[in-house]
Order: sequence, then C-alpha cells, then structure tokens
Amino acid sequence: MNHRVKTISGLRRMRQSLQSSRDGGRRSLAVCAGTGCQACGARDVVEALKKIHRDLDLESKIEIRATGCHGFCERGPLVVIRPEMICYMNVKPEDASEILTATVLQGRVIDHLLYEDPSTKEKIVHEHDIPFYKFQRRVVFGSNGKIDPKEIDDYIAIGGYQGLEKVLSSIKPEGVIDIIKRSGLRGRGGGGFPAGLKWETCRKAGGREKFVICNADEGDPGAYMDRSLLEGNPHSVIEGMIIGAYAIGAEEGYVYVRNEYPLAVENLRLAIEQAKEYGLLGQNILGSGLNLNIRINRGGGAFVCGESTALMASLEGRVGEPRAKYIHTVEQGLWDQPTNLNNVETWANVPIIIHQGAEWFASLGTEGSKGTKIFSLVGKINNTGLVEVEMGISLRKIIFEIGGGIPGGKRFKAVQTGGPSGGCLPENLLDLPVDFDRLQEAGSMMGSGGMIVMDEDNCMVDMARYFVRFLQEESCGKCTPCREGLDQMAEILNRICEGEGRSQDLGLLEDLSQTMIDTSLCGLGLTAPNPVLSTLRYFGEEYETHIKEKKCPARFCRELISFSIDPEKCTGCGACVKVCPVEAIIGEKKKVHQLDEEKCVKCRGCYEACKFDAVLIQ
Amino acid sequence: MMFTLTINNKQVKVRENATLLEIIRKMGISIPTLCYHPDLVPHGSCRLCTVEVSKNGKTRMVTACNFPVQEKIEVKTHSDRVIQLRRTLVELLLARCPEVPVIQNLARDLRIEKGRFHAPHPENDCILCGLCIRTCNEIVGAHAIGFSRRGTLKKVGTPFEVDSDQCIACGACEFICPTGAIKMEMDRARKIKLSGTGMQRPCRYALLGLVDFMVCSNGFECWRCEVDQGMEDRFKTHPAFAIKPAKNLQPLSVAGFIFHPDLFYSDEHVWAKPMDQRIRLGIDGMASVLAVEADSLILPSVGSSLRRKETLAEVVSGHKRVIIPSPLSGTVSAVNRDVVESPNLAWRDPYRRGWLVMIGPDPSEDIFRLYSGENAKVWFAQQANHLAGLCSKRKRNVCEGQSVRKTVRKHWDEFVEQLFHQGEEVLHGK
Repeated sequence: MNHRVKTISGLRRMRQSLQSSRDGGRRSLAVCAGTGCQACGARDVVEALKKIHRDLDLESKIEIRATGCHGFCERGPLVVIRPEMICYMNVKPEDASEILTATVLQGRVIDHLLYEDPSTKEKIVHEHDIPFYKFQRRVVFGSNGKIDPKEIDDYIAIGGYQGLEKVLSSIKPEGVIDIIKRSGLRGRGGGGFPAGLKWETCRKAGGREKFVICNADEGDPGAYMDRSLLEGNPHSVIEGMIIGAYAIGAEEGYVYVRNEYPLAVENLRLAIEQAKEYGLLGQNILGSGLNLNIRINRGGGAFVCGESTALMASLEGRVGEPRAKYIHTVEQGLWDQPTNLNNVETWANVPIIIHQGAEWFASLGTEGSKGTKIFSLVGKINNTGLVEVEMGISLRKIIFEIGGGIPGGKRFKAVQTGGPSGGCLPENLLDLPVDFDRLQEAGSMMGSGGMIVMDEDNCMVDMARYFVRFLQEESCGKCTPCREGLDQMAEILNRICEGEGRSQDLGLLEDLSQTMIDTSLCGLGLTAPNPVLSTLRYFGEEYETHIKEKKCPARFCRELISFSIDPEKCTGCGACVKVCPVEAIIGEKKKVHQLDEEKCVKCRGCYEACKFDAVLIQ
Repeated sequence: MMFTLTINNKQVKVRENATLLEIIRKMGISIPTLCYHPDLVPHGSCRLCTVEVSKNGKTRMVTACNFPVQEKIEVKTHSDRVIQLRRTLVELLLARCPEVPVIQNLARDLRIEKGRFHAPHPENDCILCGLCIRTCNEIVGAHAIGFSRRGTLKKVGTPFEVDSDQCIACGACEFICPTGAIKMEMDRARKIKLSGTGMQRPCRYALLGLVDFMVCSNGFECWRCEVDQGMEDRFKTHPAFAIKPAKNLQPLSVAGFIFHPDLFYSDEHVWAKPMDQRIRLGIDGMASVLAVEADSLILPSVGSSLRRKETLAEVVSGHKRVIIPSPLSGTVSAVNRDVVESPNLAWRDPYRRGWLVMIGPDPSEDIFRLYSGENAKVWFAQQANHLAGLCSKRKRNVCEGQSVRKTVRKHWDEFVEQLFHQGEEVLHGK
C-alpha cells in the first residue's frame, strides 16, 4: 500500500484521522522498554501482558505499548497506565495478570508495585506525584512514555511533524533560523554554541552542497540520554533534522551513532524507513520541493569521533582524527562542504521550538541558557536515571530532591558534571544553578549531560586518575600535548595514588594542564585537564595528604590503606571469610576473626560483606 | 586582498591566503617546527609553532603553520607565555624520545637542562610527526603507510604491518624523517617484484615516473648507481620531492568544471575508472551540470548487458530529459542506489558519491580507447572552455554559486547539443 503523503494538508488530515481513531479517553498501558528496563526484564513483562491481554480479550478496553525510556531506570521495569498515570515499578512478568485484572478491569491499585517514599513510607500512585518526576520539566523527553518508537503513527498522533508542517507551509528558511536564534537554543553536545548562529553561518556559506549531521556518538562514561532519545523517540530527531536541512539548504543528512547502541540503530533505521514511506524524507517532501535523505553511519568505538571534525573524517572513511578548526565546519566540513552538526538532544529540541514558539522556549531557563537539559544521574545516588530539568535548577535539587540523595546514609562529597572533560564540584557549590556559563565558571561544564555523584568513600585523586586514564586511552595521539601530556598526567596521578607522590608534582600537574589547555588541537585535549584542575581546586588537601602523609583520606587508594578486624564488633558470622578470595581471614564460627595483612589483596570484599562494620580500613 | 597585521610589534602587509608561519618565516623570525614541510599540507600536530594571537582584546594560542592570516591581528611569537608552553611541549617530546638529536637540540635551544617528565621508553625514536605518511600520500602518491592505533601507542607502518604492494621503495619517507626512525631495508626493497611478471622490480626512478623503465642491475644499492648519482646532482633533493608525482593527480578546475586527472574520459562525457576487474562509470564534471535539478535518474538494472552507445543513464529534469550514452560495453554488475535516491548527487559529487554503474567483471571493450593522461586534459580543457563560452562571453564559472540552476535552465538545449551531439565529429574529425 502506498502511504506517501503528497501535501502538507494531507499530513494534517492524516493526523486528524489518527487522533480521532484513537479517542483520548481510551486507556493505554505503557511498558518502558528502554535499554535499562530491558536489562531488568521488560521484554518478558511486555510478552506476559500481551498474552493475558489476548486471553482476556481486552482489546477494546486498553492498548499495550512498549515505549522508550521513561527515565526512572533505578526502578525498572516501569509500567504506566493512562489516563490516570498510575505508575508501577519493578514489575515482573508474574505481576502482569494482576495489573490487567485488578487495575484495568476493577480499577484497583496494586499497592506493592507502587513507589514508596523512603522517608515517610507513604505509597505514591501517580507518576507526576513521585518526587523523581515531580521536579522535572520533561519537554523533550516527556513524549518517550507515550509512543511506541517503532510506529510513526504514534508520533504523528501526538502532534509529531507539526513543526515541519508549520515550517514548510508558512516560514521561509531565514525565518526558521530567526526563530532558533530568538529561542536562545545552545548546542546540547558539550560546547554550548548558539545553534541559530551556527545555522545562519552554514546557510550563508557557499559550496555545491550542504550537509546536516546528527552527532549520536555519545561516549561519556555514565551518559545515555542521547541513546534513550534515539531509542524512544527517533522521529523527533528526524523532524529536527528535516527542519534544519530546510533552513540551511542541505539535501543530505547523516546520523553518526555508536555501534554499541543496537536498539538506537534499529529504531532509527525503522523510523527513517517509515518517514520515507510517508514522504517525509526523500525527494520533494510533502510536495514542497524540499529534498532530504538521511543515512545512518555506525561509529567504530572511538571516543574522539564525537569531536565534529574527527566525526566527519570518519564519515568520509578516513581515520577519525580531528583537524584544526580555524576554518569552521559550517564553512568547510564533510567533503569540504558547509556542514551543520548538532547533537541528538539539540535536534530533538527543534520541532518543539518551532511548534511552541521561540518566546515560549526562551521563557524557560536562565539568561544565557534557555530551555531544559537532560542529565543522566548516576553514581552514588538513590534514583539512578535520566532527568530533564529546566536550566537554572540547582545541583542540590537535582541530587537530593529528584535523585533522592545518597544511598546508605553516606555523606555527599562531589558531583562530576560534563563527563570526563568536566569537573568535580564540591558540597559548597551544590546551590550552583545548572547553566552553561555558571558551570564553566566553577571549573566544570555542562558537557553532554553526565552527572556522576560521589560520596565520602570516593577518593578524589583516584577519581581524577580514572578520568585521565579514560582520556589517555581515547586520545587519538595526533597532537603532542594531548598524547604525551595525558600519558604523563596519568603517570603522576598514579604515583600520587600509590603514595610515591613528590612535593613538586602538584605544580607539575598545573603546568601540564595549562599547556594542554593552550596548545591541544581539539576539545578532547583542551578539556582533558578539567578533572585534575577541578579536584585540585576543591579538594587540594586530599592531594596534599596523599603526597605528604602517604594517606588516602577517603580510605580508598589501595597502596595507602590496610585492613583489620575490630575484635569488639566482630560477631564471628563468617561472611567475610566466604568472600575473601585469598583466604586472608581466618577464624572459627562465632569467634572473633583475624585478618592476615600479608595475604590481603585489599579487594574490599570483606568490608562490603560485613554487616557489623567490624572490618576497619586505615 | 591584502591584510595588515602586527607581528612582534612590527606591522606587515600580507596576501590573504597565506598562513601565519609563512609570514613569520619570511620576516626572518625563527620558531621551531617538527611536523611542518613547505611541500605538504600543514598537519598541526607537533604544536611547537604555537604563537599568541590577539584580536579585539581577546588572546588565544594558535598554531602558526595552519592559521590563516586575518586582518588586524597582533601576533607574538616569543612571549613569556609562548616560551613556557613551547618548553613544556619539548619536555614532553624529550620524555618520549630522549635519545633523538632533533629533540635534544630543541631542548638545548630552549635551555631545558633536564626534562621534568619520566621517559618510559628511552629507545623510542619516532615523534609521530607524520611527515613520512604525508610524503607518501601527497608527494609520492603511493599511499603505502599510515598510522595505526592511538595515543602513545600510535605508530607508523603499512596496513596490518605486512609488506605492502603499494610501497615502491622510493625512500622518500626515509629521506624526510627528522629523527632517522625510518630505515630502508635493502633486502626487502629488492624483494618487491613486478606484480604478476615475477620480474625484479624497476628502479625507484621508473616507479616515480621519471625514467621509462629500468630494471636495477645494481641490486638496489642506489649509491652504486650512475642514474641515481646523476639524478641527485640534478635535483639536489630526493627525486620524489623534485617530481612530486602525486601533485599531478590532484583534481583541477577548468573553467569551473572539475577534472580528475587519474580517470579515463569519453566523448559521451562519461568518466571511467578501472577498479580491480570491473570499471566504474559516472558522468563528468561538464555533463553533471545537467543533473543539478534532476528529478530522477534512470539507470540500467543490475545484470543487464550494456552496449556501447546505448543508454547508460537518462536524466529527467522537469520537462526536459537527456540520454547519456555508454562509452563501453559490459554487464552491469552494480548500480549506485544513492544517486537514484537523490539524482542531483550526480551534480553535487560527480566523481565520488555520484558514480552511476559498475560494469564487468570482464568489460568487453578496451578502456584504453578512451582519453587518459595528457590527452584527457587537453580534450577536457577544450570542451570545458567551449561550454563555458556558450553562456557567457567572458567564460565565467558556470558551476559557481546559486546561478547555476538558472544558467542550466536557460541554456539546457545548447548544453545538450554541445555535450552529446557534437563532440564525436568535431574531435575525431581533426
């Protein structure tokens, strides 16, 4: 059957008919089938639900939909029942029949699947009342829970491609650029460059052809918002790219996505196919004369390919190495032609801005940072997941209200924002508003939106070493400061962590950092010293203690600690004996155990296994 | 256009498309470089040529080798900050290659007595400047070596570190290497055989295209060879740098139409490129203008047999259409789906992404019947100038800017006439 929509009004009519056939009052059940929930068994939950759905013949009562990521990954698999927005967590396939019979048929809420407030022990029924969701502003990410990413009709029915409709029917390319400029949208990939300005320069650049690229080579450890957007709502990214291509004058687009994101690749591939079938991609889109083809390019696993020029080199089939950007890629990018590259989240913001208006978007956020930002909240945090917040919200609110604070009653120590190129911010900066410029002033950055929370057990020197080692492995090795500098930096940090630090090492680290900032070829080397500089700035005394006293204040660095058993507290339960891999702990049941330091490999197994805090670290 | 800028408090006027390093060197100011060579595209990897550039009160550090000059910038080549950075960079390189004289000399010039960094592999002698690789690509055109791995583990070598058929053992990489890290292995050079013939390989001058053909009788010991001695006297440099064979393969623009010297061309305005057993065909830079507004491009199907002068492609553009005949016969073994999907790709990138079909594996006609080398260049230039002359007496660049669409609409019939019905008689008749 030919589904091709030939005109703009045709799309409008199609949306209306889709909307009327799915009358709003009909109930729906959305199972989060994002990668996180799938890992927790969401696929089985969907199968179980569908089976009972069939068996009980509930077709007319409720529809079941496997959607993209809802964000609350800590409690997956998640099930949300609309229109009431009843939210069930940690759902197992066994719960399927109860959900359908009790909740759907009888309207009874199942208590044990509800969210329980850790402090008040109160059960919360509705999604929007759960603190994790309550303080978010889910502008971009909100649609994820409403649609099946494999169905273009779902996206169109919730108002998808309305932005494109508006642009093609009534706005000139220059007008689109003007809207994006007035909205104040800044690039979500890390640099925070104003998107409208970039588009404008690209439009004005000469050249035989132009390109739009979506950067989905998300490589920061712990960050997965781009992945979840592509998996859960690929059409929003595609729509953004079509609008961008129209504004800039591009006829070809690429999505550069990590090969490690199979579900994102699959859903995107399907989405592109369906969009083509509907005439939303290809030649003469909706009869407007606009041509655009979007291709998927899967990355080969190099972190540096997230850098725009390296990404373009890789797209051309060359080694993914960056080049100098004295001539910008919007003037000479892919195949030396003007190229506009934006990140997944930036593209996904575009249709919303067009649809809701620049003024509406600009009313969200702060002076210099408009709109919302999705963060992946990970590390030592109760509510691990993806959160979308209005710019300007404080770190404290994200971590303690949305994130639910630090698990195990531990004390908050630092939060690393912006991935490996970002910085660690201490407790006294928790009230800092999240905003491109303020984070940068504080020595960190927005980056692509990673947010790693650390507690008192984390050693900040070790943390810096972790990130520097990551970057050392990922440095492409083209320029001297990044290649050699990171190698030396890793060696110095390693030496400090192992208690071999020298008094001049801190000065050397600072000098090295400055050289890398001033002379590195690309953003990777230029921002690589951030983890070191920010920890030196806020946790300098930890470095001093490592070097002068040869001690790790967080009692983490293996070479600087020793383990022993507190005879007062030890109950002789034997839990530590079982986990010790080298038989360093001996003792009879119900008698105080002993730990042989000679044999101990400091794996921390006993420390974590002991329920009575009897394992001491000094 | 000329730019006025200040370098070390001295005002200079320079031409627009110069790099900062060229100007700095011309002024007699010495700044160190390791990865720069005037005959190669700047790489900007060693970072030693970093200088301080201020404009509108903003100061930043840039590498002079690839920084295009700008109006009213203030440049400082030896400020305290620059010197400090340069010292740290040299210290880093010294930690990588402590035994390499070039680096030791740089350290001495910058008064570094002992580097502050630990040298884990003191025997290392490659500074990863990439001069060898770029010479092989940009000067020799052999593309035999490249970088593999990354970070400090990065290294220069042939693909998969096996002996490469691409290497012609010309020795240009050894010649350019500033640290002596690359050494010719005469035994291996001798082993390079002429492919298929089992004959010993010709000498490096033959492979560089300087002498017609010569099989070495000196066991590839060039220092014994009189040809080699003669060439060395003549060029005073490595022969590859004197001839630069790769430069002849760069695409040219003739009256705005792009010409790729390494392809075969035909009167049908179709280029051909032998690829292994097959031949790739596409429309040339001139015919490609007809595809600028193409609505569809109809190509033969895979498996069909294509005969010379039969339809290779049909370009449909609005109410106009044109048939492009094939210059060769053969079985169609592949069709470019990208160009079918977006037909104006044949205009946007006619020689690469916009190719049309592959024929083979055994094309029945001889590709050498087509224009190649110098013949192709002459033919192309004549045709291109003529075509440009059709729409403008001043032979303006037809392909430039937004006007190309208008030009093609206006001159469609003349273009088609000139491109497809005239060529044969005119050229073959003379």
